[in-house]
Amino acid sequence: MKIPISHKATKRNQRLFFLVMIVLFVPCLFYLNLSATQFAEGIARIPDIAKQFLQISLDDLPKLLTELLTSVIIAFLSVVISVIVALLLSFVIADTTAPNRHVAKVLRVIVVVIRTIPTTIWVLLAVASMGFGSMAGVLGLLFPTTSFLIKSFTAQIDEAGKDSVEAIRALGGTWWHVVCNGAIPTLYTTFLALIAFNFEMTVAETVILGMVGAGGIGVLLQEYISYYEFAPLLMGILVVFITLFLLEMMTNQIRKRLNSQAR
Amino acid sequence: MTILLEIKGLTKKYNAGTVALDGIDLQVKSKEFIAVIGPSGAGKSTLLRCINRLVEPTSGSIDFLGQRVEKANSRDLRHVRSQIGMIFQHYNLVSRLSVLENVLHGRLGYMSSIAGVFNRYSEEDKKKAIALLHKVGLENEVYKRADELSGGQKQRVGVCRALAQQPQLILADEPIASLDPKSSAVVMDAIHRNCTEQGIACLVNLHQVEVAKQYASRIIGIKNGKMVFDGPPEALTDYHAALIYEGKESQMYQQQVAEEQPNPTGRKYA
Amino acid sequence: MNRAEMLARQRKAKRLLSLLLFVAATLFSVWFIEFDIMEFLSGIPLFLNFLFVDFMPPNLDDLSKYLQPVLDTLAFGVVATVLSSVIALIIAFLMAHNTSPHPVVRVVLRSIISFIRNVPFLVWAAILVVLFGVGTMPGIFALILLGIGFLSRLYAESIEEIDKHAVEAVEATGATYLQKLRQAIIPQFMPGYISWTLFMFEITIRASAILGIVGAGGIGSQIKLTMDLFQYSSTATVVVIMIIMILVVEYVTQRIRERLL
Repeated sequence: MKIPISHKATKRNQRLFFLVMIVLFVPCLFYLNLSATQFAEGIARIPDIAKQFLQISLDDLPKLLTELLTSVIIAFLSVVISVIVALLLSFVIADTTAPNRHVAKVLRVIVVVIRTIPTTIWVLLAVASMGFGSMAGVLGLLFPTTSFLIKSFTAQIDEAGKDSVEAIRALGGTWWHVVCNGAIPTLYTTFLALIAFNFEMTVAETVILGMVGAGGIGVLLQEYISYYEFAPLLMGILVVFITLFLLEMMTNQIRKRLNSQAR
Repeated sequence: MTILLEIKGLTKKYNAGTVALDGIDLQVKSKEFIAVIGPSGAGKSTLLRCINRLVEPTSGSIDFLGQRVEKANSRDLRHVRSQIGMIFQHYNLVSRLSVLENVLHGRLGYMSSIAGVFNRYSEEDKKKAIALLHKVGLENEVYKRADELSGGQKQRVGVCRALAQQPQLILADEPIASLDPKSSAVVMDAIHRNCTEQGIACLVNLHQVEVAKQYASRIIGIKNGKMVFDGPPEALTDYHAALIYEGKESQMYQQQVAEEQPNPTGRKYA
Repeated sequence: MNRAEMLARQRKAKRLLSLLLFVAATLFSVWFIEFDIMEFLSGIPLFLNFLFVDFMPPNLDDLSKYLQPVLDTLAFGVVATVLSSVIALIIAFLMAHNTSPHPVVRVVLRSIISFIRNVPFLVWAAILVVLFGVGTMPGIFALILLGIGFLSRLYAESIEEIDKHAVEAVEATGATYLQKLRQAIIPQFMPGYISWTLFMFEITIRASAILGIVGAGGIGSQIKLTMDLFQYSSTATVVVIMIIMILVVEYVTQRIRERLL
């Protein structure tokens, strides 16, 4: 009889987790029925396609950059509009500042539903309604970005804004007083950080949403892919990669600075 | 008495240019119980960590049982480390493992890499580890998770881990600095009693002179990286103590709990 | 004029300047993409009308036809999550600065992962469709790439955040690199591993919506299909099914987290 050494509950839970992973994985793998020949053929195609990729051409670069700018602008405009809408609505929804509980509740549920639907689907719907183009992109993005901002704003208002809000309430301030003099000044920097983060996410999304018809660089990428033009596609991918990489670094910087300020 | 450890001209400069240790010479004989005293920042902790090379010394020689530690390759270093137990101010237990597993970590240095990876501790080792825990009064905590224990209990687990190595030497770095007076006494007693019984030499960093005098067979005073006192506890007069702690007198008696607490969340941005 | 006044004035000027910049950027944006505000505003009611009239009521006649895509999506999620978590785990240990065997390995892996992550998922999926043809295979591989990019970074961050002290203590007993990994680092990393892996599963369900668009299978393909055929009431059904799936998966993973951590 071996002497056990581990903490039973911790070990059991971890074992259970891995067991469930394996138990689910094996049948799922068989269910998907991946074909080895398809795999082999795909792999065999790699060198050929890689060769085509590496015929570097700078011809399309100006076009790519213009379309990239369009993508960024689509993101920018939808974030601007979203911020305005979200600022108005989040004070109506947040517990500490809600003027009417029932309205707040209904809005909350709507926000949850909107958030659950992936961005891509919103854009697809907007394109179906408005036709191809940047405006459909802005419209489609509006829903997920606004709901994201509302959710994060309300969380912040409820968490951080409590004291100042109560103080102003105690002094007999009106709802507008509470919002403009109490909550907004205290939460100014946090909101900015959230907006920066949201902007990064939205740019990452607009870049690809062109592929479903929302304008911007994605439209070009989709064309290249469907016409098998791999050389400019590589350029496009690099442009996108560099943009997103720089953006990620930038928002990391902003977040770090805001974090140290908060501390 | 044989010479266990011989340090000559040990110097440590950190990258920022601060000199933590400045030419330390020290001989440790077997069965000695040495207290290293001095204010915080004097280099006590660096001295201990240089001995088993948790900190790489800049220059000087360290000889442990005929092995040149500062020149040892990774296999020899592993051998040296397995014979030197270490006790830490913040206990340094793996919080999500059981108390017994933490104690058994003391055996890793004697096992093959693979056996250690697969938890193949011998039954003999397990029995000994449990016996050690009984001895320090933790018989009811053997299968608890390390993060369920109080500070004093955690440090006793830390002591057992060091003893499980069956070491020649124990390095204790401020073992009671984070504990209340009552737990401090329990922990110091456990270290002292076990070292004496099993003939283990011990180097213990302390900043409370009173505690040092109570337990040590020899006291070393360190100030600004230099050794300024070396002698039996009786020889350490108030004058010497005052000299060692000049400018930082308040640390002589105080519990220094607030100052060196680990970052509680353990996050890297702190 | 005293100092305080000057500072206040400076701050005011700064604020005014940023406001002007912001307005200029907005105006430029509106001009550049020919954004017609009137048309946009009138488009919103049209869009809502589209959503609530053309889509309602959801067509519930042939629900059974969607069972297959739902199962596909879930199976995609499981397979992609498990495989990417295994691969990402290895990469993360080689990449985290406290476990990396060599700085060069670390930097190289970091760049590769950063590239995988910052090339949009849809682009990966489209390229893989070119490579493997339409079907489940490109979808699975795209999800795995997504998972590797996402999990490697998060795992590595979790590993870097664990308590260094305990690792130091295990090192001091003479443990080898592998022993240190297994005895000190992995136990502390488990909560992070479980939590992020569950999160990855949630993400794969959402991502399958995107996959369908490029012909890589899953429930997203039903959305695309029904919309292309203008069967909007069926689209509504699929979207509802998807919302339910996402919510259920989120609920389940949340429960697992609560129980395990």
